[in-house]
Amino acid sequence: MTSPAISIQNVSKRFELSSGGASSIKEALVSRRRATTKEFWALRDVSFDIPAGSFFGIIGHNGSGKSTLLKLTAGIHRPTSGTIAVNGRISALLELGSGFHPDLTGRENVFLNGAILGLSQKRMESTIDEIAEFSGIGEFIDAPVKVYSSGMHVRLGFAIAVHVEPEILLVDEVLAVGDEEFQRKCFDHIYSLRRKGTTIILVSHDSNAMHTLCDEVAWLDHGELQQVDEPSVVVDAYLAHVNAQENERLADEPEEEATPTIAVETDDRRGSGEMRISRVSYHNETGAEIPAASSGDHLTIRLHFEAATSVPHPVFGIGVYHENGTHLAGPNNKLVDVEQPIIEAGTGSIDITINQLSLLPGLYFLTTGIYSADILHCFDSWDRAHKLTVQPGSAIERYGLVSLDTEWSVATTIPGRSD
Amino acid sequence: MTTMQTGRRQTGASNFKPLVINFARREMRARYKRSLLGWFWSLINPLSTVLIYGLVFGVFLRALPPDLGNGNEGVFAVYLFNGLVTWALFAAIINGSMDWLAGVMDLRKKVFFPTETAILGGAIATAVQTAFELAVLYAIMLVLWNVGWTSLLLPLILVGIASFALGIGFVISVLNARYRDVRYLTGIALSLLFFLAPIVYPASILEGADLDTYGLPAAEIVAWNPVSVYVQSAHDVTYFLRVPSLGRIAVMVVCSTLSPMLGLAFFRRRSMEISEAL
Repeated sequence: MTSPAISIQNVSKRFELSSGGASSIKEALVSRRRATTKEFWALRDVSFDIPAGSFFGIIGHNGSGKSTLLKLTAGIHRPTSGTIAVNGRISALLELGSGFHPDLTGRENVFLNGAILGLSQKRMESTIDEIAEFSGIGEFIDAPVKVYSSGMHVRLGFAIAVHVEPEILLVDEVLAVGDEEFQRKCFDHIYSLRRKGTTIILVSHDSNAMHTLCDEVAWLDHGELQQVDEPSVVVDAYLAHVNAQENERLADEPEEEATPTIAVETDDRRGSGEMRISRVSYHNETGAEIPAASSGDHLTIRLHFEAATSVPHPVFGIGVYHENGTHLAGPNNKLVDVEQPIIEAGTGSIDITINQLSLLPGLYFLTTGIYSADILHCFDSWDRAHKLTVQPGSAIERYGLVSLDTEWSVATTIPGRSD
Repeated sequence: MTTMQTGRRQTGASNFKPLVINFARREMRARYKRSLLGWFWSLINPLSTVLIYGLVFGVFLRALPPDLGNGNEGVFAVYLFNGLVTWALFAAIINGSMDWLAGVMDLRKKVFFPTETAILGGAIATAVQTAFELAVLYAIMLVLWNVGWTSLLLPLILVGIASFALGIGFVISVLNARYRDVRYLTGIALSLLFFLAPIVYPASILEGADLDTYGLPAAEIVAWNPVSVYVQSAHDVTYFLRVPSLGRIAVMVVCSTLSPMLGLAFFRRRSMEISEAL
């Protein structure tokens, strides 16, 4: 067992939300007794150790206190109670362009940042070229930082943070900025730091990053520590919690599309109205209604309809759209040769069953439609009126909008030169 | 092992000298950036002040300068300049401390460093400016052939008043970060202090003068104003070419040591709080 790089013991942090009392002496004198400060506990009694040389993740939703914990560790704030023992020189990448003075040039900021870490001008002069080169900002190194793009900010910040040879590196989800190539360069560098024994602490709500990078993950929720364990264990628990919360929220939401019983022609709803969709509901394999679907799992979409008169053999269809407007699918029962009976006046429902939902997590919208048997006449078409939230589920793929459920062979090679 | 505890952070082996130097350099560079005459301003500024005060007090109001230490007739502008160099250092550090701290607060909200380094750096930059003025003063005294071994004591007195000002600056800068009125109050206090020291008038006009008409012990106030003690000591060593009285030396030693110690203690206790003000 090596001694921990950072030992956090019973740390609590309270912020005062109102401006912290009086802002002028007069105010302080007049309203001395009534300093109505609202308290906010960003962290409550958090304790854990971060082993030296490890890649440690801190996960949690927005406002969970993870960034506050990082700021306490970096010494920017001090804990209201408890102690944080830090063993080694810290370099922090806390937010966009953190630690930059906007009026100074990139070069001057490099020296300033070095000085903050206790490195002399001379020492920084020996690495400035390397930093400029790594960040790839070219001649902008001599321009004031305030004219930098956000990408340049991050690149220079990262270049400095990793070139000052920190013993502990704090990273607060800034790596998401920057292009693919730079990100790869960053990760290469982070890995090489890690090989040299640098302790790296990454704060993020990105469960993928936690999975692939970290040795150990701590999960914070509303300022309280939930769990510290292997990434897979913590990330699964975290995601289950996030899903449960989202379901709760969706269930609480009032049904937005309270269906009009009379034909109301709006821009996104048209049709003659003999038959209309009244509601769309989602169900899992047991038939229970669910507020959101899970990627890769069973989903039944149930269309509830009302018929004003008897309608012969209507065709039901849905359109699936990603929230960015991409049309992903448009199945109907005629395409799969299922003929509907003559629908008598009244209400009813029809199920569309998807055994393995290939949509990846995200927000989607459904268009519903009911057409005559020859699809020439529209009874009801309701464009993208129904929200479909897809949460992480058993689907393994992560990139893009849909899972292709692929099978891969093992690569074969024929020895020899590739010319 | 760097340990951070509630209310205290022991910085251990961390070395903040590069940071002080960095802030000093930046302050010096920023001071005359984008001006055509650049560093010339650091000489033009005090000289123009001497001209203006010299015109008003020396010519209009006919203030009589005391005789020089070498026995020659006094020159009012020189007397004025001698005191102004001392005063300007004091006022620049106190006024500057508020700006120096305010200038690094945004940075401090994002990365930890002891903010007193910014004030120290600013004070060093101000001292460099004073060094220029000191050189001009020495040159004038050489031309007038009003020099003696005591002339060499002036830098010591200037370091003393800078140290005194630094302690006050530590307190005022932190208070100013909290209460915006501090800057205005400081302005008033400084102009009062300026006229309560014999800079634009010779100390001798207070002696035996019929000033008690208003019931004010003017001579005593001027004598006990610490800034006045430094200014008069500066006059002693370079204008009158004599060693300051033991009383003055005692006041200076006490002020120059206690002020930065107490000021820094106050600053360290309060500066963590202001970085958390959202």
